[in-house]
Amino acid sequence: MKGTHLGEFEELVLLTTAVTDGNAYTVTIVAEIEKNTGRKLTLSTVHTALVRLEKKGFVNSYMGGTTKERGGRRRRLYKITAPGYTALNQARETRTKMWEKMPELSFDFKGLT
Amino acid sequence: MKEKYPPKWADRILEWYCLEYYLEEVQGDLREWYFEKLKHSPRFLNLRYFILVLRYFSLTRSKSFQKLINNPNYLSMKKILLITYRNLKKDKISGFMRLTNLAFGISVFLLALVYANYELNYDRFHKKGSDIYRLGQDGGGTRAWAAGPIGAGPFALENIPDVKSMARFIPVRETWVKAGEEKLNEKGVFFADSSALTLFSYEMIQGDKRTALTDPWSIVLTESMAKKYFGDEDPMGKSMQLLIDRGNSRKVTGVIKDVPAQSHLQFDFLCSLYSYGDEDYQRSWRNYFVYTYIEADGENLSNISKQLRNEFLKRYNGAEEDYFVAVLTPLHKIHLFTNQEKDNADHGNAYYVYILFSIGVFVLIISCINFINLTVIKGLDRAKEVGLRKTVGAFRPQLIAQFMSENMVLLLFAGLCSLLLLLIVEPFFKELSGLDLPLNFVSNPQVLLTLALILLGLELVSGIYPAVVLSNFKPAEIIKPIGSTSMKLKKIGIIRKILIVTQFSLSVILVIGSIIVYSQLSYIKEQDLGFEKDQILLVKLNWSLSQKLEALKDELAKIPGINNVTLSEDVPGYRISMEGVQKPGDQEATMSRITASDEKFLDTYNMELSAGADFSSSSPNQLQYLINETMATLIFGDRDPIGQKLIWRDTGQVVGVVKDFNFQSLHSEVEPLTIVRNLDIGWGYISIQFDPSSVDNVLSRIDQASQEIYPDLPRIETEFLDDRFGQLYLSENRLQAIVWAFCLITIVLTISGIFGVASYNAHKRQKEIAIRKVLGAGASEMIWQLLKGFVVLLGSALVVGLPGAYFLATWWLQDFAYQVTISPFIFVGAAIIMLLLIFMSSGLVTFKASNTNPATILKNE
Repeated sequence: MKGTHLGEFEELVLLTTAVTDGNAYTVTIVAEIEKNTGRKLTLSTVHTALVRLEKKGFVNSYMGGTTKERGGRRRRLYKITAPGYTALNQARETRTKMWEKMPELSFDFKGLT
Repeated sequence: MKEKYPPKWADRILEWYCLEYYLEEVQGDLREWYFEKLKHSPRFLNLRYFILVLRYFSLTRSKSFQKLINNPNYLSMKKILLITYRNLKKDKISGFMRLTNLAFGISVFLLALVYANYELNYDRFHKKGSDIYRLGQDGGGTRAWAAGPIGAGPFALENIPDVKSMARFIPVRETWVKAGEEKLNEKGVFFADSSALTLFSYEMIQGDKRTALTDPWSIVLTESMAKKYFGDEDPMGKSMQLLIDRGNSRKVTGVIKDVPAQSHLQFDFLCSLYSYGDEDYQRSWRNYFVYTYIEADGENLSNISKQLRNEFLKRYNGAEEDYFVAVLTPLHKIHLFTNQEKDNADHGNAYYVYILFSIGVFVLIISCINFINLTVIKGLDRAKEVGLRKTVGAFRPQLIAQFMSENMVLLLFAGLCSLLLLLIVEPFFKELSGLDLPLNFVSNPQVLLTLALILLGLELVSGIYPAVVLSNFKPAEIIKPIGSTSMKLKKIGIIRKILIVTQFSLSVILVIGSIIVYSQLSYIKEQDLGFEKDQILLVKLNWSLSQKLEALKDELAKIPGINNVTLSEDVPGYRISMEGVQKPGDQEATMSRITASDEKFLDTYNMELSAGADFSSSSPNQLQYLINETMATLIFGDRDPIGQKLIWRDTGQVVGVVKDFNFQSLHSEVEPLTIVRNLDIGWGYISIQFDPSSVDNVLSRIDQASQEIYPDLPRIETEFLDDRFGQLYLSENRLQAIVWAFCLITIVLTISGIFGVASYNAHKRQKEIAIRKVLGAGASEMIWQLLKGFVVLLGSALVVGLPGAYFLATWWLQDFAYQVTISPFIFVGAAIIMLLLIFMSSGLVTFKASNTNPATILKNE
């Protein structure tokens, strides 16, 4: 496999996939991200990220059921894999570790002195 | 309300590009999005849908792209490129050397090709060019005449049915041209028939080419002249005055594009020939400075030439058995292949084209041999790789493809480099060759085609051979060599030796050739001409300058710093006319160069007398002749020429004999020369001998004097005689520089070739060297062991190269009247140079090899 690095946006998408487990496909992920972060994304952006995640082995996909709106077309549901979960976890741990090392910072507000 | 659906056409776009795998999912997602939006914000929904479809486009989802990268051919190609890259990375020196070698070789060859192509394609832009012949004559002198009488053209057109059309050109030596206030000296003025514009394909910008020159007082000028005299105004119908027209005015009736550089006729103005004398004169057989061009079929030439000969003989009262030929020179041959008398065309030198082109070919061969040798050597190094691949299951075609594509990558890269190199050297080459070569010759299809052919040829030769031979090996044999394999390897070794010998021979020939060309050209330039040429200033005279000639001459003589001033009809360095001279009682005239001068001629040019005296000023009305030694022996044989009578137009007395001197360039031998005193036939030049220390003063005083005497005329133009001689040797100087540059490239290429082969040999024999060292061999002995092979090869190359070089050199030198003696030292020198090159390039490698500690090499055994 090429790089297994998890980018910021990929991390967000992967996280959302894990959160909406069982009903995670492009449209729901877009809606979930918008709800939680306010970021307005297009379907294609998220889909590209999902394709990439699948190539890296962080998610699996399988075809799910369909609805009337989809005109009989099935949806592809994405599910986080164990390596994906580990990668997410690692990302979180790195962040936590770094946060723990954070010293007391004082900020100069230049305009006030 | 009708239910809304996403637009079908947008869906179709999606279906067209999207990979099957994603299609269902993406379409479903899109629909879901569509109906969701329909509920909340249905504005421009179809457009937004379409944009979203477009945004879905990416290579990962593209049908055709995925198909392409999953194609097995692409995959194996990728692998081959990868292996090529790794191989090149592994041995950077060899790859670099192969690349630069080839790039240099190809560039040099392409340059030579472009140059030869340019020179060989003079006058090709004339559409009727292959049917146009220049009518000259050969009356049995040393050379044929390019020009002929004015009446020959009309005669041919009217009386010989095979002659389809005819055009005459008469050059005007020197004139000024005036339009409005502008009055300038011009050199490119010709008289021409009205048919000149239809027979030749000069491009008309304004005016009608059929009628532009029919009016006797019409003039056609080139675009740049129109700009020079009239600026942005429309030149058509404007009037111009020329010195030669003695007061008459001409009307501009046409403008043509500037004459292309690849034309032997170079002019700026064409005046109608019908103002050049009346109808009778036009048909007379006078004026031998007319260039006549006829259009005819090649098959009828002998017939035309026969009829013209008869007419010539009739006009000149010649007898049937006299030697006389009407010479019809094909237009395309004039530039490069003629050397006729009375020709002032723009000439090239066929020998130089041959020399440069063969140098180009030689350099290309040398670099190709280097490339092939190094490639084959590299290939042999990989025998084990081949064995292993075969064991693992590679098929032969795969192996061949691998080897050949590796080669191709390198070749293509070298081709690109050579084009890049050409781009870089293009301006220098233009300046060096002095040719206005087609500007972007890099994008010239011919060049690119040749390049492709060379690369293809090299691919076939250097790629197929090792590929086929190596892929034929049986794996077991390679990994554990037995008799037949080592036989095969030996065979490759022999071919390689033959290639090296060829290469060395070519290098030897090139090195010797360059030395000889160089020394011959310096020899010519440094020859003592036998007269003063460094301190002479020339003023070309014309009709209006001649009006106050005495005043000008007196004024010039007064200027301090001017030692001598002389008037003459012609001067050394320019063409001196060739005419018949007789002594009383002679049946036939002896042809001699002849010029008139005043008494100061010999003093001004510092010429020496070998017998008799200079023109005497005591008897100014007596007709006196001076002749040179060649003329003296030619016409008087052993008799003392002094006091003999001589007839040219009038009878006079020979008063002195001048030592032979080269009044023309040293391409030709000293010809017979006759100088006649004060025969007033119109002076052509003032020659001024000046004191070199006061040149600037002299020049400004001459300018001042001429302004005072001729207030109405353009500034007087002067020329240094040594500049003129410099011009005569211009092509020699250029050739010298180019030959030098090419010779250097040859040497560098040879060195790199030897270097490559030597380092391979040293590498192959490192174990042998190590063992010999262990057994007590000294360093010098080791080096000799390794060099021995090369010295033997060089020996055989010398056997071929030295006679070859000698043969080529004598062939080239025979064109020169004055030849440098080919000293045997040149050959010995070249052999030594080659030996030194071999020692230097391979010695370094061998020294390194023999200096390595044997333990490092042998420890793996």
